[in-house]
Amino acid sequence: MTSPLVEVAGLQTHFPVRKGLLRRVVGAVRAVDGVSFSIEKGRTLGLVGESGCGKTTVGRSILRLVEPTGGSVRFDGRDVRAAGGAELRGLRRRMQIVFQDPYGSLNPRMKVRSILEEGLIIHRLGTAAERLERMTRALARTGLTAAALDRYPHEFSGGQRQRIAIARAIVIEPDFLVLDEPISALDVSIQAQVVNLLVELREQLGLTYLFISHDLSVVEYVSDDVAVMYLGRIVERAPAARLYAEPLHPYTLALFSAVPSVEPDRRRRRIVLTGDVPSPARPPAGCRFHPRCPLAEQVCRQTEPPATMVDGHAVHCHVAAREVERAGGDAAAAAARMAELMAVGGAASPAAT
Amino acid sequence: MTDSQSRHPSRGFQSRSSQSRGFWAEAWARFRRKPLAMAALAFVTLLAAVALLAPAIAGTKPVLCRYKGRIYAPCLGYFDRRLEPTIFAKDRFRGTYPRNLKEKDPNSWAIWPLVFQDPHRAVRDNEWPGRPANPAKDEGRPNGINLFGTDQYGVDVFAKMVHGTTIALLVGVVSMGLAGTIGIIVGALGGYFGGWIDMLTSRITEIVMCVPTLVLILAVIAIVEKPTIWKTMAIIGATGWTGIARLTRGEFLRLRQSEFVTAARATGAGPVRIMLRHILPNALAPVLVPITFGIASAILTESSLSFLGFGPPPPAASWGSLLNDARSNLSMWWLVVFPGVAIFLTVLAYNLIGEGLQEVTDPRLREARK
Amino acid sequence: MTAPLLEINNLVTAFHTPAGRVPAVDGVSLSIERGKTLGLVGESGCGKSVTAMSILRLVAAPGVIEAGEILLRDASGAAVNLVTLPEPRLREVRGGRIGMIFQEPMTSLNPVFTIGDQIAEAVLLHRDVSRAEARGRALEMLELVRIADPKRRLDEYPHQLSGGMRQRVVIAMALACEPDLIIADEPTTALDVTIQAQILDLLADLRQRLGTAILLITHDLGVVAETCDDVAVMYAGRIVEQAPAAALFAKPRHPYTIGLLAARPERGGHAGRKAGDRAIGRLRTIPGMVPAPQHFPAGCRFHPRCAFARLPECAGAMPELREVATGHFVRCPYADALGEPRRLDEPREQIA
Repeated sequence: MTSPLVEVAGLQTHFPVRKGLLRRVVGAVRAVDGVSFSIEKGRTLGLVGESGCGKTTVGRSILRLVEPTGGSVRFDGRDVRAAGGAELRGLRRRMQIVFQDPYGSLNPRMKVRSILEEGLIIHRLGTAAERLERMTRALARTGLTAAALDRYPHEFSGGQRQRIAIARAIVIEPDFLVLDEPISALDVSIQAQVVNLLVELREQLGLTYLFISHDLSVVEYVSDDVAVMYLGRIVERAPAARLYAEPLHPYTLALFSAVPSVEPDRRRRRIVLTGDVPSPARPPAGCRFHPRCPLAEQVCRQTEPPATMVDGHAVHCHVAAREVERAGGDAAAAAARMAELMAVGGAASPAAT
Repeated sequence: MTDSQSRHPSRGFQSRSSQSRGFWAEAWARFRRKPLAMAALAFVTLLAAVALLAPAIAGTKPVLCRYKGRIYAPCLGYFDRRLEPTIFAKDRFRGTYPRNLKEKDPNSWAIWPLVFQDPHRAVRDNEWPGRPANPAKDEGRPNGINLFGTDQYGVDVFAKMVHGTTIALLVGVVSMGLAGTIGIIVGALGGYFGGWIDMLTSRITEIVMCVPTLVLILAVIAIVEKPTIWKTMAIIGATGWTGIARLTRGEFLRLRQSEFVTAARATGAGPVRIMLRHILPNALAPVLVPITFGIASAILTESSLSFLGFGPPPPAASWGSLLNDARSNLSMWWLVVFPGVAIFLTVLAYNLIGEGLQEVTDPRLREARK
Repeated sequence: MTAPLLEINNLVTAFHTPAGRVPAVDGVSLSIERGKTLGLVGESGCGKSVTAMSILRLVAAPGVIEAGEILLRDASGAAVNLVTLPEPRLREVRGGRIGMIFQEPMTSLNPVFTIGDQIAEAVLLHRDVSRAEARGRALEMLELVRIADPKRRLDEYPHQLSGGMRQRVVIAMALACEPDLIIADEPTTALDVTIQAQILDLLADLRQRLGTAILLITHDLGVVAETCDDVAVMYAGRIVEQAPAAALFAKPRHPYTIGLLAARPERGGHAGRKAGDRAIGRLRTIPGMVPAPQHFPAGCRFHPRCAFARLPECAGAMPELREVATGHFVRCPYADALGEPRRLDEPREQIA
């Protein structure tokens, strides 16, 4: 097996909370608090979770668009956190990002030509003629023509702008793309176009993706592996098909059941979680999900659950760990049992707080 | 089939208007639809033309003349004495051209300014063939020869005002050019880098903000030996940048967080490139508005100074110093009305331009007025 | 059957911009029965929000209701036309007989007043009660929307609450005067899925207990499927399909609805892909993009993007909305042929 292209270990990104006249640091928002995963070349890791869970910060920390405060990030064997000046610039040519909001991510005062050309100029890729050729090729790959070069972003629709943003990312021929909610701001009928485009580009260019989204079905469709985040931590991680077929973590189960579906037979009993996500400035002790978890026990409030592994499926949950053990390592049986427990526990849940 | 169509999502925009206009072109198109702002812009343009062509509009030196076989433009002497050809001094013209030209070279010809009046001195009797001397004191009310009347010493007010236009415009543009440069640099550094740099620039801004401009100028004039209009402009500029700095800082702070800046960083762009190429063009529009208003207030400041008698030293005359002349004899109403109206209209014009600029560049205001 | 609570007939709302007249809503007819939930679905710019705003005549400045009537009936069946109702009487309807819930709970709450004050204010506007009684009502409402520790929350400011909690407060305000109808414009779009589930649950529960009819405006077909009795799908200022929810999702008949449903990857829908084996098919897409109201095409407005369009008929005349099955209205001449039952286990291609 090849070594992973992206390796994240114990990643922490805390933002200081300052107060008062002297801007003293009085605490920290633990946006990302100990996240580990790796992505092999050509594969896609989906990162799902609700707003504030830290998934966006994970993506930006890898590219050092925000500075991680702990842990390590390795890209193609090189230590991203230790890279300085020129080395970081070199790494950034190989790692690109596509943002959620195609209106905010394109400079409104620059023509598409300047937007695409910037990376080529910074990294000194090609002569003027070669740059034009690369830009035309990148636009063609994203379904646009060279006519777009002399236009301003505001002349395009949301879907087209997202294509331009993708063209900007691929024009310098990176190996790895962080896709940060790339379709969430688009209309439903446009989302599918962009998803198809991303899948095509992955095949044609052999790209590796970190696909960040709150849209569970799109993540399932695009990803090889999926990690579920809650309050700065990954709570469950597995190959996509496994995770969706046999979710083990109570949060994953609740998340899946909360997504409204148009399929009547898929409209299972909804597990309605109580309360809101706690603030990442004051994460609860023990398992971070325990205040909202219908299955929380004494141990959950005190000890942080370690990872339990069942055939490449990792879950951080005391209850799930016990069920896996009880099922003798049969993930499917354990998952069925967890769903059963959640259905009972979830239904018996008290009123929202 | 559906897929093959989806590969050409660019069809939509190609059918749209073929013109591709940037932000400033769009803003200009909207500005042009504002009659008041356009009238104000036309007025300022007219003033600029008057300032540039002042010696050709009012003066006693020929715009062009042929003298002893060569062609000269003595009127340039109004901009700077050194530009006046020395031959006329050598031939003892003493600033009186019409008679001397004919007497010393019968073959000479000259193109004269539209109005034969001098901004620095009264026109003497028969200086222009057949025309009497300018009246002085309170007899110089406006008439066919002295359009805006004359001052106490018989100097033509129209000529003074035409030549004072340069000062009025320069004061605004130069001082705000200086203030804009300082303000944008200080604000940009503080807003972009934050931290201790921001702390430093913000404190400096606050300190400068406390400096009373007018008092400082008076103090400087009292100290320096040769007060000139340029020093006044420099002081107005050096104290007037605080508002611009604050605004620029705010814009940089906001835009630094925007996704297109993050995208530029992800591409590998450094801070200078990000500030100049990505943030500044987006921050410029909101900063231009207070600069325009600043021009108006700089003109007012200069007028106030001149009114108080601290204006540019003679022979230069600003509109404000004309008002100062009127103080000594209030019955000479024309010394108040004409310069006063000129100051008022110019300040109003800059304010109207600023307001128009704000309306066409601020998307929120645009929404509100739709 | 009694006459519907709200009946919109041929509503036309246009915006008069410097660039010309923009018909955002172009002949929309809808009706909502007492106590029922109608889902109005469509993408951005289809006119669904303008339709909602037109009901209470809250369309912003250059927008004008040009034609049509909006009839609101009381319990006795007497109707008032909201389009022509004088402003003072319309204000009684706003927040009184019709409540409104907006997408962004933070912006629809005033940050300088406590939530108790804001709910009480809504009550005082429409009911002849004392301040104390209004405050009591506010407390009652917070309990109704299941906010924990309502007494304390009464004196808190909007910024002290989470997004989900704020939306509960907005719902409490909308319900404070016991309206017959609630217009909810994308009420859960700004919320996370688990919070969305809570809010949808709450709305369903309140509807059952209070018998309030709901007009739910959303772009999310899943939300509609789970909460609505009837669905109307809008495209480019017109309703293209309208049916009971069950019928619509079992048998969508308009090409646009079919396309929208097919464009979503289905859960477990990465067919043919085993672990490690990437044999992903492509999602079915609707080509092109939603036209801006200035550029609505002639004929059927969906025809340039339609996989089934037959030229020149579809580009010729605007098709009529006609009933193809009981209660199932479709604006497409080929609707009968398109109404294949849609099931998960069938390959997607069969739809086309």
